[in-house]
Amino acid sequence: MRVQIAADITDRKHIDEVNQQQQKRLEQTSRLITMGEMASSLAHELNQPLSAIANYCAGCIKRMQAGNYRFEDLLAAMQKAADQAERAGKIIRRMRDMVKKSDPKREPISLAELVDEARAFADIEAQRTGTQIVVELPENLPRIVVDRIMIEQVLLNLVKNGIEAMNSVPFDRRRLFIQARQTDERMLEVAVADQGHGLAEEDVERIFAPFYTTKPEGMGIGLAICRSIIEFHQGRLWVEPRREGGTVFRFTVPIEEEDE
Amino acid sequence: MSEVTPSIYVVDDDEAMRDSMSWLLEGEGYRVTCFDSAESFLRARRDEMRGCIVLDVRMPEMSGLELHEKLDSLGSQLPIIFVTGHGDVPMAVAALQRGACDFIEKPFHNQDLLDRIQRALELDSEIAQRRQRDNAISNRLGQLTQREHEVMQLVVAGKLNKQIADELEISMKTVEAHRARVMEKMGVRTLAELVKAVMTLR
Repeated sequence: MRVQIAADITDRKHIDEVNQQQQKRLEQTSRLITMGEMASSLAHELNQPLSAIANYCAGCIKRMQAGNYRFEDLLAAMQKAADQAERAGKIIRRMRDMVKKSDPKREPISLAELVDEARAFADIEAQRTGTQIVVELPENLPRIVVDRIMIEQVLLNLVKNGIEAMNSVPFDRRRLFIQARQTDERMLEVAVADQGHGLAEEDVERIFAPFYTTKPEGMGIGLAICRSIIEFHQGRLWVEPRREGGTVFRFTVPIEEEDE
Repeated sequence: MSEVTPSIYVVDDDEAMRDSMSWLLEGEGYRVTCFDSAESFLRARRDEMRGCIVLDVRMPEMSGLELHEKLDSLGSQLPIIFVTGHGDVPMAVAALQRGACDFIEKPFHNQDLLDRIQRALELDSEIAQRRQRDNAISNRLGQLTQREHEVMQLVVAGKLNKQIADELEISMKTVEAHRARVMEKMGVRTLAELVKAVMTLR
């Protein structure tokens, strides 16, 4: 005779997994937020010493041009300018220390998984604005070798921009597409396409420049960071107008090498 | 009337900004007075202050915008140049709509700031001149008698002496006498000057 005792733990295991995933998402979200906040406070804090340095220098130049100055006054002003340069340096050093804690880690991962995770963050925004996110990924895409948090950040940024670009089009047009294809044996191309207001021609060139923004309250940081993340992965990030109206951002990332 | 020397009032909570701004502006020959908070400026403020305010938008305690509001309610007409950081631009636009003089975004080019200050000072001296002229005119108006005032209103309205005489039921000669007194008291020589003086006050 055999006595079998069994308990179905599938449910419990599932709950644990969900909890763990949520925890992980929380950590990632907080890190994404910190990046944005950091960039913004960096700009604000650096403004003070930089403006002060410019003032001290301009004051010196003016007096020297006029030939009307006391040596000790100029010396004092230059010393204060040097102090302010040091203050700016300290701000930068502090920021760098914060970033250093997160060395990029590249690992093979499926794009679908990565898109899912980025979508989880974007969904709140999508629901709020009534935007439909359409993911169209071909089957059997090779895995990509990237730092997952970094590429998620790029995706999230592009998705959020896309959603924002559509906030003045009718609801039935608010659809954002995430697509992908393999371009050659080394790279995978991901496209994020919106049906929004589109980009002015001159902005196509400038939009990736740091501190350039087309949004009234934008910092001009997002796309600049995205581009350096993609370039760090030996990929490219660019933008094209969509024939049907709107904008499409495309980037490439390396795929896993097959050992043969 | 005592002449008050125009000064640039720098209100900023950052010590280096205040100090470097003074160095820059004094190098241009301006008189500069610094305040480390909106509150300390308010304590020092007097009605006869002349010049302009260079005001940092972001300060702990009272912000630049709140100070602007407060100054408005006190009837201050000193032009204000707001200094903003990146991302404060919508805030600055709101300030402009409320009638602030100008705003400049950090980091700014020195010449840009100096040009704005120049404009603000010109505006301030226009305001001061207008105030002085208005005061002078209302002083003169105050010296007119009731009858002279009536005659003046009708003259300015374009009525002829004959019509004025009929309307006020006095003789032409009396109208002419009143009219001459009005011109003398108001310190004007032609009808056009009189109309202009009265119009500026309205």
